[in-house]
Amino acid sequence: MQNRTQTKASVGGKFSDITSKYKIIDAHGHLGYYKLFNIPDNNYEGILKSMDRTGVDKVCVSTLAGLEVDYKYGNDQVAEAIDKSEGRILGFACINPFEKEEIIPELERCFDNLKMTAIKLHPSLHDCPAESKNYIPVYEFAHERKLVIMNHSWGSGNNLRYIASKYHDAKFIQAHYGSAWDGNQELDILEAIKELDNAWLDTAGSGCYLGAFEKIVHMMGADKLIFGTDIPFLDISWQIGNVVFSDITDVEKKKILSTNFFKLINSN
Amino acid sequence: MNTIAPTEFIDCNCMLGQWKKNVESCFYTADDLISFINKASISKCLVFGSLAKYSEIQTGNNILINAIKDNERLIPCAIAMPHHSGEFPHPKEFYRYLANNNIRAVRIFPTFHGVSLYTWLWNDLFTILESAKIPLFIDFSLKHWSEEINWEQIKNICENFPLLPIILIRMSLKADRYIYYLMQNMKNLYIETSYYLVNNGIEKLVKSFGAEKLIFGTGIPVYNPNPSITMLNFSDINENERQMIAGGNLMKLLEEVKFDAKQDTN
Repeated sequence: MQNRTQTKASVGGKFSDITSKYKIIDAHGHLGYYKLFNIPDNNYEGILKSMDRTGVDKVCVSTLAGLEVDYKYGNDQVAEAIDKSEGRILGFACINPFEKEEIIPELERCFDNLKMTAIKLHPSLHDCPAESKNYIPVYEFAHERKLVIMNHSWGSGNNLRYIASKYHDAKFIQAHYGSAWDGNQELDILEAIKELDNAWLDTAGSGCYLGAFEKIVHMMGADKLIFGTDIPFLDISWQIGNVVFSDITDVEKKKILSTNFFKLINSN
Repeated sequence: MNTIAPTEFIDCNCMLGQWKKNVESCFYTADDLISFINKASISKCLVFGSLAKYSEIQTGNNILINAIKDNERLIPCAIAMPHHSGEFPHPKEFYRYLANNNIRAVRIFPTFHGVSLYTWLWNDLFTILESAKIPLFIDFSLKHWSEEINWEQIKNICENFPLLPIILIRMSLKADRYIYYLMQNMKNLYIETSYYLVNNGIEKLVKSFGAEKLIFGTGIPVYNPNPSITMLNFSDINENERQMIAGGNLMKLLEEVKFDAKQDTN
């Protein structure tokens, strides 16, 4: 365990001195309110303030409203955040899988006009299962443009195997370790990600079990992990604590905290 | 702001003994635990015993006391439940047990032990704990923020035992819509921070109610202490407030416990 540095090694300095050296890119953020609980400081100004305080360089966001009810409203909010953040906030495009005819026009608007970086899917907030054919236009678009799609859940390992193999030029990220991994569950989605060349795992999540992060790095390899915090759904410093102060090497930390996602979004 | 100061972390949420799901990480002995907290820069722990939680309460309490005896960095926390079924000592007897062993904190598991927080069920125990101001840690065994708890029962307990310090363990995202009301109106309610993931949540609570009502905890060895330590370190609060949450508030509560000799001999 290396978190001794949290309280002793840098006394007199700033916590952001510890974190900023990694040029952290947070690949999993949001904007806006959520129906089930209070989210203070949920606008882009609040996000930027948290990033400054914790030494995070960039964050890629979608809006909770865009995932759940009104994708155009949400995408416009993300576009405003991109414009006003001087490149520090990146954007996920959202769609409504039930408005099939609108999916491609909206993705074109997002990527051709609104400077979006990746696509976010969320089957439970969309209320549309991960296996639904309604998502096919999204996969085709991402494949054609070699884009990243992050999904709250790809459903089964086999679903991801099928999609990632068929749309092999797209890049697929499974959020939340595949579901609050406690270091013990044998999840097929993790096996699928390990097998596939174009699939990765995001670290965001509330369940930080002792030793689980180190185990997953060992199991998957540091090249397969993408740093995410879920800010402001979750406090940004939660996952910073889990990853920056974990018992893995500095080289592994740099990959997870920054270079893995940077390469994904800059390799078109 | 955010300048690192030598904060002293005192963890109020720590378990000693075997935990079946993570045999590599659990603390079998006091030395195991001390070795871990040394690396984690935690100076002291309020500890309960795993046997007391998972199986035999009083045997587990006794094993814990013996295991950490004479260790100034490990502070015992006894687990309790209602006595009516004969499984657990009568509150008066339990009180003597606490006093004789200088145990200044009690933890209950209403969900895990299947005993809801009905005032009538816990009245005898809580009355006697309140008489000595023994802090009561209530652990609903929440694994995920989406789980619900019975806030009406918490409000009733706070109202009926106003001098009993009540600390809610692992409060999380869904707590805010209740705790702002409750903390405004119930002076004896405290929040443990190990799973309080609300965005900038610590600083918001401090701004509204002061730093006195937050108690630092980690949940080791089940949970990783790094996220909860980092969250407190990064919170936009002053160093005095940070130290109060990190350990000062807990120590103050423990120091305020007053065992009454009369109660002891009743």
